Amino acid sequence: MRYDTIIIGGGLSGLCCGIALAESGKKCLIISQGQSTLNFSSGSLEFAGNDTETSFETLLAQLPENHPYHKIGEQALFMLRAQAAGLFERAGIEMHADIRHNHWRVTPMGLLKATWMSMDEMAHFEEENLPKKVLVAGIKGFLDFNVDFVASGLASKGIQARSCEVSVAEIEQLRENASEFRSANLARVLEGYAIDRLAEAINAQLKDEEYILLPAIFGLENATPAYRILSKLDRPAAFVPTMSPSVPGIRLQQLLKKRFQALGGTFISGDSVISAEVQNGKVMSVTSERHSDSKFSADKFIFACGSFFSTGLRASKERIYEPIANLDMEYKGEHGDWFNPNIYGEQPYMSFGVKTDNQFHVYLKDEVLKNAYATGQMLAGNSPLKTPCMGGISAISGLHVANLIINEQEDERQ
Amino acid sequence: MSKKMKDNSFQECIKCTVCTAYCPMAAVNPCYIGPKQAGPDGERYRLKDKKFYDYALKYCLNCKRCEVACPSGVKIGDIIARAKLASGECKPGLREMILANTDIMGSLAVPFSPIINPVLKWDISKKMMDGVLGIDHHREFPTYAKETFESWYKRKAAKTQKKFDKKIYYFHGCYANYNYPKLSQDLIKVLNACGYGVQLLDKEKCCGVALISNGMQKQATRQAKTNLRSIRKAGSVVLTTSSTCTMTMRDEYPHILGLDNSDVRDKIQMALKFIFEKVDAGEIKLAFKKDYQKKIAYHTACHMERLGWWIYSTQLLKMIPGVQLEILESSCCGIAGTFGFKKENYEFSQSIGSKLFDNIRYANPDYVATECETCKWQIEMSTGFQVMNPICILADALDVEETQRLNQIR
Repeated sequence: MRYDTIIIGGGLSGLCCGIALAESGKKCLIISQGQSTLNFSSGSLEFAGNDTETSFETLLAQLPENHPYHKIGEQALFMLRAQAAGLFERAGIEMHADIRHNHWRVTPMGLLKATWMSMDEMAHFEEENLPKKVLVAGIKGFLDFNVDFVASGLASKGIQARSCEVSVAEIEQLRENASEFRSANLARVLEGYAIDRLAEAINAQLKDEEYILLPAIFGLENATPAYRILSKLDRPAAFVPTMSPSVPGIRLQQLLKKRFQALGGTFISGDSVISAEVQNGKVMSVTSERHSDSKFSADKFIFACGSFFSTGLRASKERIYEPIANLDMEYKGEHGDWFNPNIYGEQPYMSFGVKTDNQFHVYLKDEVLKNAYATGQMLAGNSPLKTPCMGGISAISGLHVANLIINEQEDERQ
Repeated sequence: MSKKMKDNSFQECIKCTVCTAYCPMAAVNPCYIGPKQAGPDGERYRLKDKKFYDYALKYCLNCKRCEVACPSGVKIGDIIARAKLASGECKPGLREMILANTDIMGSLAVPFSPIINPVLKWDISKKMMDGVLGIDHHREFPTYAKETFESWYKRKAAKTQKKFDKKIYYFHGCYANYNYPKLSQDLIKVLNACGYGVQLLDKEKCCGVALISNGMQKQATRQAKTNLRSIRKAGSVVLTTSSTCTMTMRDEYPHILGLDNSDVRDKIQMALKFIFEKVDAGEIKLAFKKDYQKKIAYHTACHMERLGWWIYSTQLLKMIPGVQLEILESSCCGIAGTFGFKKENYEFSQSIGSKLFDNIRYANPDYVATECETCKWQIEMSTGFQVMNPICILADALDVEETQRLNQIR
């Protein structure tokens, strides 16, 4: 079966790349190995930096030399940030973002974290409009959103926060199944009038707070339930991500996938690519577990397979490797050097990844593969916990490679 | 338990609960603990006592959507299916025997089909089956054919099929034998036009999927061994038309029944995949009627999703110039084989399918296309839209003479 482009990996990077290519009329296939880490997403994407004042341009200059952003360049990154916002909007996902600097979001622990882009209904604040008095309203017995953690986290940032827990009959019936009182289960029963009654219960708890924070457990398929409760509350309100699975993350994944499919893209779920056929410095085809006797061929191939968690990268005691094509890697030292014994310290293994040239072409045995690229978390030089850039790298490198492919083919035509 | 059946993939589970978020049963039944808890979590406890969570296992549809969703490659559905067999919770009663023994029931019913078909449609019979057996009265049993496909084949087709230079084997399964021989005949029509004669296996038994899900492991294993023996004897590709038979023979035989099929697994292929690949490689050509104009909505049956082979069916349907194809969002129809026939499951079954039914009504197609026969019954009963196997659509749309000419068949 032949496509213009085959993308290995159906997470944020693969989907952004696939959507951009499909929008320009390319026939694309995405092969995805189970659900991606988008399902655990906070609903915000980081670009870089830990504060809201420093401009993205200044932050870029502070990144380590081998950071993938440097291969894209300041000007292109500016354009790509705008392009990403447009892509989400066309997929039906409203995002809040400033093209020049970060805003604050709230973590499930109640801490404020600087971020580039947030789903519109998620709590996001500019420094000057941080609320002063907040009601953190959770669900009784829902352990993946601990209201006291959130309130005390906010207090450490000088925000007065009070916590309360409420419930409604629709939620109580879920307790028959005590073992799985999780965000996705709650989201399924929180629809229609259940939402209205929940809003009433929260309103009854209000004192002089000016703002309400709620767990993000509304709207698996679309944001309607989320906006319904916001409209029924007596104060401005927004959502804070819960522990996994992430309801806004699941929605993000589903909406991006739908957008890709609506553009004519083919998305295969639950299948893993097991090998790639390489000839004369080019990837010719890939083979997957479920289609082991067939070959998928294409003009271009994109490895957007994620990092260690998504098995885009693998480690044994002897080496760190890319399991599909055994692409060249960038990493240092022996097994013992890969870890920092201080678990909170910088972990060297996190910045290990696939070696690429300035256009994100991958290498095999020191030879560049002219029609194959890597994007997202599997790129070397990106250490998303140290320099918060996880969502940014994924979305932006995916889009950037799509642009490179589109431009290259336009140049050839002229 | 054989060594092969002991699969420790549950240790790969990182407790992310993504499977439960995508489980169609957990979505409508708050009492179901969900695939993570019933599968990999439960498996740890079951190492101590196989009775852990046994009450919950009957809710698993075996749709495998948890496995498709799992980021860590855990075979959640297989873990649950094996635990279900081992727990003995699902002891088959008369109802289970009747529902699961599709080929015994079929052989008994076909000779009397003119009587049985109308009787099964009577309200009084439906009420009796509901009251006595616990088969929900909303359900309509598929009608039985006047003659089985096998007997028709021996009488009418066997000789002519031998005349073709190129021959290919076909595993028809119960539905295309007892209920809807036209599906098998349509496949013969398409393959003959492309120059292939169709051969039946030496001996074919029901794939056993319903026996597995109703706790009849011994009988399922016996039938599986017969099928594997026949497939080995055939020694070449064996085509199928039902997605569930295909998944059962390829994946459930080794994973659930512990039968090694690695020597023949790749040979068990859906006809749609085989035809697509031959067309794609330029080895055969298809020509279609100029006046065939249909709007078709494709439903990805759960086991097609698991196989990942819906891409072949949809690509083939797209080749028909007059077909306007809409691929419906992949979601479970709720019937899950014999599950939805059971009275206590009817409500769950319908609420699981409701999203798909709405999508079908919204698409308003001439036909719904799907490779799964139980999805067909469920969708036809619940929406009133006619459901066809893509093979039948292909056969209807095919310009036989032109196809024969293109493939140089006299």
